[in-house]
Amino acid sequence: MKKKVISALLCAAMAVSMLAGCGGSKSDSKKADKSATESTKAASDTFTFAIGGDTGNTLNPITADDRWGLMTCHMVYSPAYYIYQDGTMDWILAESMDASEDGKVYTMKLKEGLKWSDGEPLTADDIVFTFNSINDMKQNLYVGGEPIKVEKVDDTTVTFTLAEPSASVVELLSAETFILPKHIFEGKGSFDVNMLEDQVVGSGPYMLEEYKTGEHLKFVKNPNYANGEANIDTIVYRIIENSDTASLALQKQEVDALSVTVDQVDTFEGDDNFTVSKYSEGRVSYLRLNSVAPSMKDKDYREGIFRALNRDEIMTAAFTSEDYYKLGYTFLPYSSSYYTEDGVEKWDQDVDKAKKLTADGAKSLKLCYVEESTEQKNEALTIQAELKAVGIDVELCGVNQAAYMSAAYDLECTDYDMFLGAYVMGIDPDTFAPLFDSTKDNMMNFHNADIDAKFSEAATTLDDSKRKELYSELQVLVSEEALQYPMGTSMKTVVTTARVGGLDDAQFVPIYTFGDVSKLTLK
Amino acid sequence: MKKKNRRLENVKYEFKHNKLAIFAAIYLIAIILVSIFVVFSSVDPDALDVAHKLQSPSSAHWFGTDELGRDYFIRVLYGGRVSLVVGVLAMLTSIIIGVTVGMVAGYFGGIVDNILMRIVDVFSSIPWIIMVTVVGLLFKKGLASIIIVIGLFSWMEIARLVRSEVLSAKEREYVQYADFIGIPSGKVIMSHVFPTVFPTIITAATAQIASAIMVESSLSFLGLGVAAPMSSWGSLLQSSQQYLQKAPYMAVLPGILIILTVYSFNKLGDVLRVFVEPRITAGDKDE
Amino acid sequence: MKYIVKRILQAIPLLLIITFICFMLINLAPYDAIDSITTPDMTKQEIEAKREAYGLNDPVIVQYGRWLGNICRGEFGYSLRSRTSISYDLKSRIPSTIKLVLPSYLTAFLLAIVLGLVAGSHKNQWQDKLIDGICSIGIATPTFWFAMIIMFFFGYKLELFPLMGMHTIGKEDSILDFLQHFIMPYVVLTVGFIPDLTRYVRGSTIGQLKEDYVIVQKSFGASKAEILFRHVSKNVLLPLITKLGMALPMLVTGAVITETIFSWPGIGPYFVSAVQAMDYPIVMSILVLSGTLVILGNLLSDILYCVTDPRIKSMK
Repeated sequence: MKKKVISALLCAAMAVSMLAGCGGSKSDSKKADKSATESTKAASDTFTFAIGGDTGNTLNPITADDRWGLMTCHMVYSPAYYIYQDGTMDWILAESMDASEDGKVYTMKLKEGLKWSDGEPLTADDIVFTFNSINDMKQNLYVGGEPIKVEKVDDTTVTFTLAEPSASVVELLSAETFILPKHIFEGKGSFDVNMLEDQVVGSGPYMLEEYKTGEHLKFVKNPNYANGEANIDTIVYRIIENSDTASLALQKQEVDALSVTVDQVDTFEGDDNFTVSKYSEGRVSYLRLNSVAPSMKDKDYREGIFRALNRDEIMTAAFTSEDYYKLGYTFLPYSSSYYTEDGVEKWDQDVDKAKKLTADGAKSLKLCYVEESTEQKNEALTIQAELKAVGIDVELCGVNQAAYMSAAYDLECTDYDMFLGAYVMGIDPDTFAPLFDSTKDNMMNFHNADIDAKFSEAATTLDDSKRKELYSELQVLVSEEALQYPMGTSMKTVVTTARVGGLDDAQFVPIYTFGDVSKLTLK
Repeated sequence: MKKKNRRLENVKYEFKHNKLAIFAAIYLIAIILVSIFVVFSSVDPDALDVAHKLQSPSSAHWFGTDELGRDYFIRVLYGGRVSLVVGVLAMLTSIIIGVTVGMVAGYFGGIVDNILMRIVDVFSSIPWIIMVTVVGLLFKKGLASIIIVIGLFSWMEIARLVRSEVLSAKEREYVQYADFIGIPSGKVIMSHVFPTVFPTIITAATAQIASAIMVESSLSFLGLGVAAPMSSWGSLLQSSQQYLQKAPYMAVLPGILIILTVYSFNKLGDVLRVFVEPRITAGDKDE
Repeated sequence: MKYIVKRILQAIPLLLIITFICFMLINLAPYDAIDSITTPDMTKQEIEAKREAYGLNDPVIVQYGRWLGNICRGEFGYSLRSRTSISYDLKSRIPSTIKLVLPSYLTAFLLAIVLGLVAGSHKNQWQDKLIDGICSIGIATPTFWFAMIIMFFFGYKLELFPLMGMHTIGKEDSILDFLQHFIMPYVVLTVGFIPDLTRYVRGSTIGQLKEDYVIVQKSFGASKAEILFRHVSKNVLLPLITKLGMALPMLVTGAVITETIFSWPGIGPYFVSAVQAMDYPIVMSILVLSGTLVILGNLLSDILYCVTDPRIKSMK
């Protein structure tokens, strides 16, 4: 620490002395020269990933639901296992998960000799502690209205007992469920981790070394990682909010990886210095009407709003061409095997009808979106123009990611009438339940007992054709509420510099971008 | 009367011999006319055409299209409208406040003067960017609040000028006489002092427009200015920053227009100062 | 000495007034102070208890007193959004801003003195026309536009300098790396400061050249350069020193726009994003800070003036 402070002082002294014209610090700059031969290019043992927003200094591994927070969790914590899009399992802390005959009891076997990053042993106690803590806080892991019972058998064996069998439980127990150290959190009373002050103890491939507000998060590899020490020593998440600046930093190879916007892709395509990877996260963009805002109480009015919109125009504004998006009409991503448009209310554009339906309602609305996102800004401007055509003025409220999260997921917030957003859930349709089920997180702020019951029923139905039927009904029910206007599924394009290897081993995954970060290499 | 003619002649002389002043005047007239008549153009500045977004300049779109396919050139012209409206109205707001405060302080003097001038000190010392944004937070986002906020924080200079003019006018015999024979003070200010400070106000006004345009563009650039889809030169520059690499021409037009406009208003102010303070030119010619 | 003490005593009530205004603005702002203390999963009773514990139910004047006390101890409260301690953030950000503003302002100051003296002493000649013309254009040029132009040519086209930040991560100790990041915002800021200062110097040079003593010197046959550097410059520089004092608040707020464009991790981006997110505690802390610095700056400039100009002492 001391060393850093001194050097900061030197910098200031240097800057001043240079101007005063005495230039007496030559020896210092020579020394610095050696370490900075490659000028501003990223250091050779450091992989720098540009992210578009700040995480804030508080990380909560249980409640994190924004991309940057989850990406950070993904580095420092591990789930028991991870399921890739194609269904293959990546065993991390657990080595097996077996179901009983009746499908009500699952037995998880942990690997031998697991350790936390601080050297403490990682045992079944930690698994039990994690799941009990989650169940204390929210009902996302409830099956059939009952919490999953988690019990320790021995140090490496845990059983999960369900009230009813469930088709989605294996995925449910891994998706964004990071195993947390009991010895750190027990008695702490909160799962908020202060990245500025606390030492973060986890079991992920990396450990957080430094967080600098608004600048970067720096991770070093965790020697105790269950799947073996990572290839790259240091990974940095660099916060660059302006997407154009970020793209330029990538071109100058100041950063090694970036999720680029559609407008930026052609700069990198065909350039040998970069690898362009395009994949689908199953990311659904939507417009949500705030069900608790006074302006949105009337369903006819809400329908009027939807009737004024043109999905295609909004998606083109955000993603330029159909190479990068696919229109969608239900809450499921287009790629889901459960996606169906049968009977779904599509709310096709009909300006005359929209005018009629909104005639008696509010004439001025507030639309909240994430300011840093070019895509959402373009969506917002398009929606504004479309609603203007039916005589409704939209005030655009672009706010930063943190402000957006606190407003959008505050179910009593009436500051805004509409929210733009996008979500990436899991493979199984049951992972979408927390969006609409009022007994769970209920991120879309729905209040429909029918929908709650159907989600609950579908989760405990094992027969696939019966499940398909239930989810088909759910897609219809959700669309008919006229609260959420799904616009479609978008592609994600990640550009990495040529020196980054191991992309196939690491695999591209939703949200976190890289599946197993420890497999990445640097040439 | 004779004195006034000499003043006018000075201004005429200044215009004749200062090509930059002529340029400024012509430019300002042109940009004001364009801003007024741009509404008759058939192109809608807010019309989306997402299929043709971010196109480079062509005969159909002289300065290309923006991120939503809107014609950039026409948006710049409409942006000028907004910038000029903000400039003029903020100037009026600040003149009204400044003149009132300056007159009251100068005329009544004593403790009133003291208090008012301390307020002026406080207001003029806090950096505008801090003050304007803080107070802006308390208002709803929009054109009207920008005008009010800028006006609220740019009247101090005018108040000082007016106050000192009033102080010196007060010393003149006819004002003292009016006071002596018991004409109400308000009336004296209006009928005698106001005409003497009027030229000062006019000069300050042009400079005020320039600085209001500047402040507005900075605010809009920081994303704290006019609300979309309305655009001003500052907000256009803000969005062009995003495409600086792909479409640098988008940053050119609004930037140059801001410079020319601010420069021209300042130049106009310089010329008008000749009218207010004839000695400036007289002195100039001596050397 | 007596004058300095008097000025310091005068500054105190002004400080109180300015902080009181700031405090009232905080109370006017449409947010509940309790939000920066509580977390979303607290119950209503817990929140009420916190409210009581933090004294948010007390009369305004009591709250003001406590708030002032906290500020004096350097406690600015917590951010609404990230719940970080504001003093912690300020402590890391103010030095960054100073590193950028101080060199820029000093450079601009020195250059402006030279340019101003040259222009003022060659009034209406080509040197003056050139310098004054450039200054007029400089004043009319928005800083952010100039920054964009510099960024485009030197960052994008020539790729000479990195576009953002203060350091390459992992090279926080490299001075060369710092200078590479430093140079573009430094140039932009310096160029931004120059026109006003130059005009000021030019104006007072012209004023001084009209003074009687210059005419007297001229009639004694002193050369132009001699008059300029011996006598005029001294009288021009004295009032300039007071400008230095008044520039004190700039150390915090002097580069808001430039810092934002170049993502310099100083007060600028911190302030702008707080304004956008309506993070009132941060915004108000910076307001208080800059208000205080303004008054201290004025005080400092008075004292400087008094120290450098002996006439003031006898006058007051």
